[in-house]
Order: sequence, then structure tokens, then C-alpha cells
Amino acid sequence: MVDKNKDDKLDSEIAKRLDDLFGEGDASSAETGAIRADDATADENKSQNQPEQAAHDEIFELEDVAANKSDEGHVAPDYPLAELKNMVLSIDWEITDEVLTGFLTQIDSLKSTYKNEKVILMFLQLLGSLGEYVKTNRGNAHPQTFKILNSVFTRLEDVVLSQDMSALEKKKILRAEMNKYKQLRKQVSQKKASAVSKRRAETLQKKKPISAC
Amino acid sequence: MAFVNLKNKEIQVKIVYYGPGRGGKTTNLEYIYKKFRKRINTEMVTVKTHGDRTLFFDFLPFDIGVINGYDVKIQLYTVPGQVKYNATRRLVLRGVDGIVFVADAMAVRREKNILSLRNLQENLANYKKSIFKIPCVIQYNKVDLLEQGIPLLPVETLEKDLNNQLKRPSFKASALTGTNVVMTLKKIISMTVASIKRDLK
Amino acid sequence: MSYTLGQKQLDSIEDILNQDLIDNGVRCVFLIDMAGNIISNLDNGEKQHDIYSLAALAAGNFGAVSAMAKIIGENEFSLLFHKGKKENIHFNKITTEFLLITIFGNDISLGFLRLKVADSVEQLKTILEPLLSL
Repeated sequence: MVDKNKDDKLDSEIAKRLDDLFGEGDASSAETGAIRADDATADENKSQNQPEQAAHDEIFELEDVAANKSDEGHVAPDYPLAELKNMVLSIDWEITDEVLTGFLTQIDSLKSTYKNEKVILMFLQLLGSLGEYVKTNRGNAHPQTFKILNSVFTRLEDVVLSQDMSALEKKKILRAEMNKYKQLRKQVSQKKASAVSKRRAETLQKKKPISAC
Repeated sequence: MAFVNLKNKEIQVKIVYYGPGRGGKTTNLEYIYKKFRKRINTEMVTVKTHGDRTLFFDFLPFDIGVINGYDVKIQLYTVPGQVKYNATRRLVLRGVDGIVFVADAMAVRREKNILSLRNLQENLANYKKSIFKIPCVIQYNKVDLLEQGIPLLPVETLEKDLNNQLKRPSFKASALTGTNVVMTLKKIISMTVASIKRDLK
Repeated sequence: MSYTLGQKQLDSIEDILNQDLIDNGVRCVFLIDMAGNIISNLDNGEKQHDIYSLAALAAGNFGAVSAMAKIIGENEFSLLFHKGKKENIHFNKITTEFLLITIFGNDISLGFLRLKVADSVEQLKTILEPLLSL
């Protein structure tokens, strides 16, 4: 009995709210009104059997798209940084152990290739360091890491591909990237330091005796 | 599947307008949107073809205010009515709490109405929902065409075809002129909110 | 059929989303169910989107793409991501009933975002999975 009263109350509250929002509706509704006003849920025994399957589904025929197995890179196959470029692009999309290991392996291999070119070697060392950092820290890596990794690689490409860049220019580019790298390291250690002091403060807070009111 | 947020004291309710193609589902929402946009202060989203037919869905959300201490947010959707969009209709029906079946009262659409209702039943069954249990209101739309001399099905025929077993509240309506559009909406909202409250007990 | 989330659960959800995503530069994140209902939404205060429409469209989009996957013989796609000039959007399923949607700029790499999202999803699962048995 109480429940029914509660339901009626709810119904009237809803009705009032809807009337407030939508007014009396439209003037013409008074003429036609409802055909069937109440809601009598049909007896379940009389319910229709659910049909097996909708008869209106169209059948789709998909064309076979031949897999494109050609090299995804936009550079000539003998381009020495092709494989590394693939790794860098992969890291951009998905960071997995497999990709990171591949990246670092590639870096090592290129270090021997360019062992006599100091500037390129330095670039590779930067990339290697960034790669190790990501591999170790994964989701806890500083978000800026990837931007800098991409930037270092792009500039390395510029240096490798350039025909007539002077040694001075190459060093200048390298220096700019090194500065970005140093900035990142600073940010990382600042982040670590603040995390440590935050934890220390929280620990102290927990140890604090409860003061009498 | 209504969602109750105890933190914000909010209930989100999904109502879908279903029915055969060109029956007036979108027109229902457009009428509500045009007439009450200042009061309900919201935007309507439509995803349609170049030919102005619903391709994905129409969407109109609004707040009806606080009822029993909870802020009730209504989300109205329409489905594309053309037969070929069944997969899309099924998607849009996901989590539905209440249905307005918009039947086309034109005599030539008699069979399409019946097929569409059967289609609704099948698609609901896909989510283990019964057309006999879910809050539902039936609207016989396009009554304004009578004046233009276009043959319409008599109400008795429509009721027999579509509401004989369901026995749901039904309304003659004209989505174009607005006749009973709001009555239909008020009824389905009432029924759906009441049903959700019962469910939560 | 309906489901409920209490203050404690919603606060936990917000904490996870803030720590893992917003604090790492994500512009906007929202957790929705497959019906398009918004469970939680957070942003970094910069831009306000029409999240109700976004949620409805996101649920529809994800549903449509999942249906397409089945048609071509895939159980599901492992990546649903749309790239814009300045803003990007990423979708991630949590159990069969929920979706985590993140909107982020070009200052965050997709790879990094996916790592963070994966972390969040693991934590959110513990809160959301019990709801599935209801």
C-alpha cells in the first residue's frame, strides 16, 4: 500500500516536472489525445516466439586487398638509417620491449658503421641514452622524452643526408640537440626530487602524533 | 542501461525512437529541439546522408531537473529506418531504457510498420531484452496527411497490427505539426524513469 | 536494468584518470559505457567540449568499428585512434561494457599515451569489473 503511494507520488512529480519543462505541450493535443493511455504489459505466455534470425541482413562481399609487402619507409633501401627510422616510427605508435630492444640493437650496429664520424656517433649516443631511459622507465618516463627522441633522430637524418653541410654546422646542430637532452635530464631529476620530498612529507605526516583537541 | 551516479546524484536515461524509414523519427526530435531549445538549452547531433536520411543516429540530450533528489538526464536517439542499416540500429539500441515506436500511418506503409516492429523485437533480443518488458510508447504518425487526401490506416487497424499483444500507450500524432509529439515524449519519459526507479529498488 | 556507482568508486576513478592521464598532459579524458552514458569526465581546464555529444558519438563509433572488425574476421582491433592536425582522440575498451576516451595534443606521443592508458585501464578494471556481474 505504501509502495503504491510512493509510486503515485513519483509519477506526479515526474508529470509536474515534464509539464514545467514542456508546458501543456501543443494546443492540438487536446483534440486527439491518447488512443490507449495505460500500459498493460502483455501476459508473457502470449508473447511471440523470438525469431531465429533477422531476415533482412545483406551479405557483404569484401574485396581481397593484396597485402603490400613493400618497404614502408620513404627512403631508398640502401639508406643506412632506414631500419632505425622504422624503429623510431614504431616507438611513436607503440612502446614495447621488442621495439626498444630492436632500437638499441640498431644503435649499436650503427655505432660501428659510423665509428670514425664523431658527430654522428654523438647523435647515436644521445639516441641510445634516450632509448635506455624509456626501456627502464616505460610509462614513468618523462612525457617530453619522445618529442626529444624524434627531434634528435630528425636532426641526425639531416646531418647524414646532407651533401654539403660543413663540420661546423653539424656540430651546431648536435649542440642544440644536446642542450635539449640536458634540459630533459634536468626536468627528470627535478621530477624525481619533488616525488621524493613529497613521499618524505607524507611519511612524516603519518608519523605525526595526534594532537589533543 | 541507465546509469546512476551517486556522487553527482544523477541518472542518465536512454530513449530510442524506432520505426520504418521515413516514418518521422527524426522529425519528432527536430520538433522537440526547435520548440524547446531555449528551455532545454542543448544541441542536437545528426549524422545523416546527403539525401537527408538518418545514416547513423540523431541525438538530443537534455536535463529534466531533479526528481526524488536525482538530476535526471534524458538522452533521445533515433535510429536509421532504412532496412539496410540494421547493424547500425542494433548499435544504437545498446543500453536502451525506453522506446518510442514511430509507425507510419500511411496505408502504403502498413507492411513496413509490421516488419520494423519485428525487427525491433529481434534487435532487443540480441541484448536479451524483451519488447514486452521494456517501457514503450507507440506513435501513429502523419495524421496531418488525412487533410491532403492521402489514405491513412484506421487506428483500429494500426492497433491490431502493432499493439494487439503489446498493449502499450499509443498516440495519433503529426511530428511535422507537433500534434502529440510532446505527449508521446512525456509519456515515455514517465514510464522509463518510473521503471528505472522500480529496478533500483 | 541499471547500474550504480558510489562516491568512493567515482572518486577513485577520478584519481586514476588524473594521475595517469591529465597530469601527463592529456587534455580531456572520459569514461563512458557502451550506451553512451558518461561515468566520469575530466579535462585540464583549457577547453570545454560538448561531452554529451562526444560520448554518444564515441560509443556509436566504437560500436560500428567493432562490428566492422567482426565482419572482416577479426575479434577486435587493437588500436582505434584518430589523428587530427592539433587534436587527437584515442579509444580503449575496458571489459565489454566501458570505453576510455582520451583527447590529446601533439605534445604527447601516441606510444606513450597508449602505455599510460594501459596502466589506467588495469586499475579501472578492478573498480568496473564487479559491476558486470550485476
